[in-house]
Amino acid sequence: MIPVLIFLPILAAAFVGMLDDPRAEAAKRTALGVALFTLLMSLWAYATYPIPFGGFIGELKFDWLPLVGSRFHVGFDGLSLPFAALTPLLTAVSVLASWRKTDKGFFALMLLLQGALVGVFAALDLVVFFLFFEAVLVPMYFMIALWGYEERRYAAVKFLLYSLVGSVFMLAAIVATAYLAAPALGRVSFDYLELVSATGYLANLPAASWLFWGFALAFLIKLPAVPLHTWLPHAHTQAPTAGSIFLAGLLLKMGGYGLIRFNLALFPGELERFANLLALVALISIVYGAYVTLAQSDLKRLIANSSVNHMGYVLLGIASMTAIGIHGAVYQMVAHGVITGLMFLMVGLLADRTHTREIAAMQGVYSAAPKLGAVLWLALLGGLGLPGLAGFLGEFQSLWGGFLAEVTRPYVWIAVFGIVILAGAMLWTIQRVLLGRSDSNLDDLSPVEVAAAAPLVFLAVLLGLVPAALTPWIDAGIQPLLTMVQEVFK
Amino acid sequence: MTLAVIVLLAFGGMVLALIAPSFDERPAVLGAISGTVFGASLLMGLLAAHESGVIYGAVVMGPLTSAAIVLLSLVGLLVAAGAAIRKGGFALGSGEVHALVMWGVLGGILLVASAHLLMFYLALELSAYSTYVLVGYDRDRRFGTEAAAKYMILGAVGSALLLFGMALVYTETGNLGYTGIAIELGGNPSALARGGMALMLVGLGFKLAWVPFHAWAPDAYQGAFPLMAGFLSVAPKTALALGIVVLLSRAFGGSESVMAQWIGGLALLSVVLGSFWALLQNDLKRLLAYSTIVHMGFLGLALSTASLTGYTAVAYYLAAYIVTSLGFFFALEALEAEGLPSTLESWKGLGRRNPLLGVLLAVFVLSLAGVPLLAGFLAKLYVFAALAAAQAWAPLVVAVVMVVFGYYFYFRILAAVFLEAPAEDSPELAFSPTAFSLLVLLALAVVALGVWPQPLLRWLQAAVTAVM
Repeated sequence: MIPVLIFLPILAAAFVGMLDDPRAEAAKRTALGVALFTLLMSLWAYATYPIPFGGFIGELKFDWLPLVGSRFHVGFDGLSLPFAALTPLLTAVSVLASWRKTDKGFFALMLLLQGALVGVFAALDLVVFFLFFEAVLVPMYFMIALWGYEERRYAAVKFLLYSLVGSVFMLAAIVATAYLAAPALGRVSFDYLELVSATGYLANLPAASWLFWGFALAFLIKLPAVPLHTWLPHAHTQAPTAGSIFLAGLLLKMGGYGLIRFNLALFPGELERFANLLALVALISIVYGAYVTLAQSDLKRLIANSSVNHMGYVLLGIASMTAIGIHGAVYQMVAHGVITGLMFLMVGLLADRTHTREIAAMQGVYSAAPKLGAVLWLALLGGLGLPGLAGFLGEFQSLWGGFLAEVTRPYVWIAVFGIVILAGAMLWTIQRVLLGRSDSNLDDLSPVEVAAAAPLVFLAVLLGLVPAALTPWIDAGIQPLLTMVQEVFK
Repeated sequence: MTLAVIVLLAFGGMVLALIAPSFDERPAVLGAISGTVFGASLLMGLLAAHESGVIYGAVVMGPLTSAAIVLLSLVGLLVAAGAAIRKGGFALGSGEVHALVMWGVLGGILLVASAHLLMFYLALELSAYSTYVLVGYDRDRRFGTEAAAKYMILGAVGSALLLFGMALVYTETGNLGYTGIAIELGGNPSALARGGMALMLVGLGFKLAWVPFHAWAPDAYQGAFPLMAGFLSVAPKTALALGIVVLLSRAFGGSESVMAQWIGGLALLSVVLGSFWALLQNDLKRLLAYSTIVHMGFLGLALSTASLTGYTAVAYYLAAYIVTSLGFFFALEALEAEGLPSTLESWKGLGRRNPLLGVLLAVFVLSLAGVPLLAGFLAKLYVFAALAAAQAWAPLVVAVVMVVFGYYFYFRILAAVFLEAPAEDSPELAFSPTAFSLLVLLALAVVALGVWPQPLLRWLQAAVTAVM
């Protein structure tokens, strides 16, 4: 099943690329069809995941590079399934959001992104993980560089360079980890599960902190954490709507996912050692991110900067190393994917209508286009963490987890101010953009656009009111991890 | 079989040179003959894998020789086919081109097969002289003659130093055969022998274009026609890199591999400085020359580990580099045949003028950069693995950082091809079917090697194990 989820979109991308389709009519329908089909498959996988037993489902391994020690090994557990299901969903949303685009290449890139992203979340071999982690960059680069706004070239190159710097250090760390763990395993292996079984051995290596930072650097850039975040406002602002949805909804999640999957599982001792530093970085991301959000005059850039704040909670939750903190981090990532995806979708549609992203040039959107305004309203409230919407539960659990841990507690006291500042920024945006009287006519959402927004609205509310739709999966994913970490510490 | 290949290539070259004047109007015939000879030698190379023994104490038969025959014949075959891209043949006659390529390949095969320094030297010169002529073959080209002169003079300096180094090694050991040298040098070579080895390494450094002996490469690449620059970037390098594998493991390995350590130093310099210089280039062939320097640096890093993993990495790197580099140079050749000079400037908007060509170029460029799922990535991964296995952490980190620089200058090519708008009134780009089918074939090979390298790797590892 997993190979289908990864390679069907990639093959479909090749097919779409070869279509003789000047208006992209067939291309977008193919893309939507593939996204919906894979969505159904991954939802089925999500629904049938045996929560009481945990572990990996759909596991598949076959020898790929035996001479190096790498196998094609994929599988889903509770940690990866939410993201694996979110990926085709956001792809479908992005396709619908780009329904007016007439370039088949655009849709082919989206399918490539979808396949590579599912690969990232499914990979259980470090080399395979790296392959997909890198494969995400190329379509994203072209999506920004070819279809972005006015400063797209600069933004695309910056995105690419930041990501590449992170990933080469990760590659070095991957290779070094595999070879350094070889004495414990009896052979060179890049297999994640085998390496995890050698965590105790890895912890005693003199180079452990180097390896830890090799991985962490790549993930902190992706997340992004201040001060490695400066690529994000450019990339998110300049990307086309679909690109922003992918970036915020999924690409950032690769960072948090990687931190839990690799840094926490392989180097828990180092994570504990550097928890103070990571919590400080998280705190700065939260407060500074919120503060910068307040200062934006470009609506898209404002939302981009709010992501820095949101992902700060993720890092704080991970740094706490408590069950509830990590649980909150994962919940926050899913919630952020849904809500920020929705914000970028609405802002993108709004910018297409007003031909500007300047906040000063907009007002009274709610009265001019009630449907668009209402959804944007909901998304912005979700962004400030309103109880009843998905974002609240993620932020709250991350902070609570941070509060429970001795090391992160002092930071939580200051981090709560980030909530206030960001709430201010969001409410002020609502006031400036949505309220008031509009002097121009705006087209309201078309049926296609409503269809794009509907699943995200549904999820934002569902995950805010019924955490049971997500919590058991996350628990099944991270509990074994935490148990193992406890054993290592003993 | 090895002997048969040597005879076949030597006589094949002669026959081609002799009959060349009668077929100047029909270059395709010459290409077909050359291709047939290379095809035959490739098959014979595969059959030669089970041979063993030494001919006249100078030429070794065995799996590595067989691998060299196969790889180099493949290069010859591809170049013979690539010559058809230039429809009218070459102005000064096509037969000589094919003959020289054949002798160049023969020299390369002998270089790998040699068990004796004299044989090594003769083979090196045979291959070098062929390439000197090929670089300067297009007399009317602006930089052609200059390039050939520069290449030949620096090449001659390299050869002289190599020869002098061999003489010093001979003084110390009284032997020119590899086995004899290895026995005499023992664990700790004397200062004189070290001097000889250093001079030999300088000579080899010139041929492989390791920094700081690389100065000829950009000019030679720029001056040669692209097909020959492509040949130059793969055939001599393949032969030399495998030749050094043999040298290190049979002659100079016992001495705790001082030579390997020096190679590591040169390789690191090449990777770092080559990457920086490549950032500054606007001419694609010069850029590719610096890219070759960087690639040779990665090869050198793998060589410097003097391990089975390292040598397997070298062999795989070479195979990957052959398909990737030739693919890119074939594209250059085809575009020059359409009147498009090899500069970043004139490549602007190429992806829009001919999307399929854009995709093919992207495959080759991304493989050169080392992007996953293409041959170039695995090649680099194996080098990193070899460095990690040898616990050479500092070179590993430097090499990894330089990959980022590589990404940057390769992405400049892609940016020009895909992101820039083509100049006004530039027409759709037609493309010869020959070139097109060759490019598709090579691109498929790049992908195949990147996705399923196992059979090739196993074969190469077996070949390399045989010399260890």
